[in-house]
Amino acid sequence: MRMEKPSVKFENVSKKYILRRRSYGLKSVILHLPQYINDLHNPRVFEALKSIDLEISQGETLGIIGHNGSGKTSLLSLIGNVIRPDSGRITVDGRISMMLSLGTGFCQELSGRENIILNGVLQGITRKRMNELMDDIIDFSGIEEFIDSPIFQYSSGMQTRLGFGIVTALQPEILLVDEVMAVGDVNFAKKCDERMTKLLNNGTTLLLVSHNMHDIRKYCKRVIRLDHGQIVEDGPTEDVLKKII
Amino acid sequence: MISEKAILIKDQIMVLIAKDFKLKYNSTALGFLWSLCMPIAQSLVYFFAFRVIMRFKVDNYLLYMLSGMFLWNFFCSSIIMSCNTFILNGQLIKKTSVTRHFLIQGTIASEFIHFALTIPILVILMIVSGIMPSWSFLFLPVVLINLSMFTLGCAFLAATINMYLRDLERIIGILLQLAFFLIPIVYPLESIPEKYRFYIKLNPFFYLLKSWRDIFYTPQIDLADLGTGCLQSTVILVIGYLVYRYKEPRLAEMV
Repeated sequence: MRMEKPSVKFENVSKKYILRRRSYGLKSVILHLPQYINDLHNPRVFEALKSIDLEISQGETLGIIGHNGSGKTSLLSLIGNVIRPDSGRITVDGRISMMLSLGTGFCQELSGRENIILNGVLQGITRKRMNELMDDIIDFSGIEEFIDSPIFQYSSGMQTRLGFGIVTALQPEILLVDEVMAVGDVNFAKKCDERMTKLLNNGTTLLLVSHNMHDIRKYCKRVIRLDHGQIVEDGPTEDVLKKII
Repeated sequence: MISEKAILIKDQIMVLIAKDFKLKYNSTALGFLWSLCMPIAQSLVYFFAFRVIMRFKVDNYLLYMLSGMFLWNFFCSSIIMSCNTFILNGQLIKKTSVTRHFLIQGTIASEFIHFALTIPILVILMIVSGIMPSWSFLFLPVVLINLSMFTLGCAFLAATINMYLRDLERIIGILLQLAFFLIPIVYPLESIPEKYRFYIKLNPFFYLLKSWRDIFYTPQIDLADLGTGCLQSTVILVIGYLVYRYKEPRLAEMV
């Protein structure tokens, strides 16, 4: 399997979150100074990922499963450079598109059209190219009537369709998807399916976080299972799924 | 490849500026006029208070004051806006790999466009007051760049500290009110007693304000003052950027 050079490589990566008691303002810092100083010296931390070693080859399709809080989203956020590791090294080779949640990074006051440009440009595509892709994205998400209305008027299904339309139209080399596939009607699911298949055939590396084993089976050849920030299973999809069911 | 990258950076800053503009004014053309209302209304109030009631003797007082007021307004709104930039763009920070300092730069840039649009107003006011534009205008780009650098440095500081102390915006509001009277915006430096003038000049904003105003008001440039201002703005920008750089890795966890 590992013939090609890796798209994503984790070497001994750990990530801790510092838990804060409250959102500090200057007033509360002054009122609770001893507690604040104590927190600075002994911060309460949550270890989201513990010394992860992981290599994903180009064009590989990886499903990530695990219970809530096991570190799935942290793993994707680290690859997307949204958060940074406390130790270890992450190397990423290729242009990333990500859909880390419903309505990913949409600006609620702006129209769908404006958001397509904003989103695409911030993900590293020039404005000129985004304008060329515009019709395709609008067509795919099936929201022509709403495209010039602000996003806050969209249903959650519409937001997901638009988001999915954008990230897949960008032709990413690495696609990160976090738990958003399970929306839309039968018709849209079919369209999604076609898009994904086309992308994957073109050699896009996919990382899919999902609780939906059906989606994992459909798109991923390899699965890892996270438990409390560690990889406890890693192997071909059927083998891993068999063990947990 | 390099030019593609440059276009992308330009596009990224442009879409962020466009977003700020659209959110602020809902894309209305009158938006700019609204942004002028505040400094002009304030100026009229101070004009009445200082000229009519307290009888300040300053030539072309309106030009003197408005030039300072437009600049101060740019600085204040930039700082107050950037306090919330990271929080308002929390979704972008958490869900996309946007280069975070572009968010601050976008905020400052959209404020700067408003500020730059006040220059024609000042030029008209100059001519009406009988002052002819002179060679001092050659230094306008240098002054504008340094004003932006100074503001950007302060904005980095405000935005970063506001992540940790969420009530900073209110405190800054009070500090700015205080600072307004500590620098000669509405009054001339000469009205300050001789022995206190030194302290007024310690304010890092003083020389930049003076250079900016000199272009329209005297109209000539004191190169020593401008040089001091440039040095101060560079130092502020470096400090601001380093503080931001130090805290940037944890930004997505803080918003």
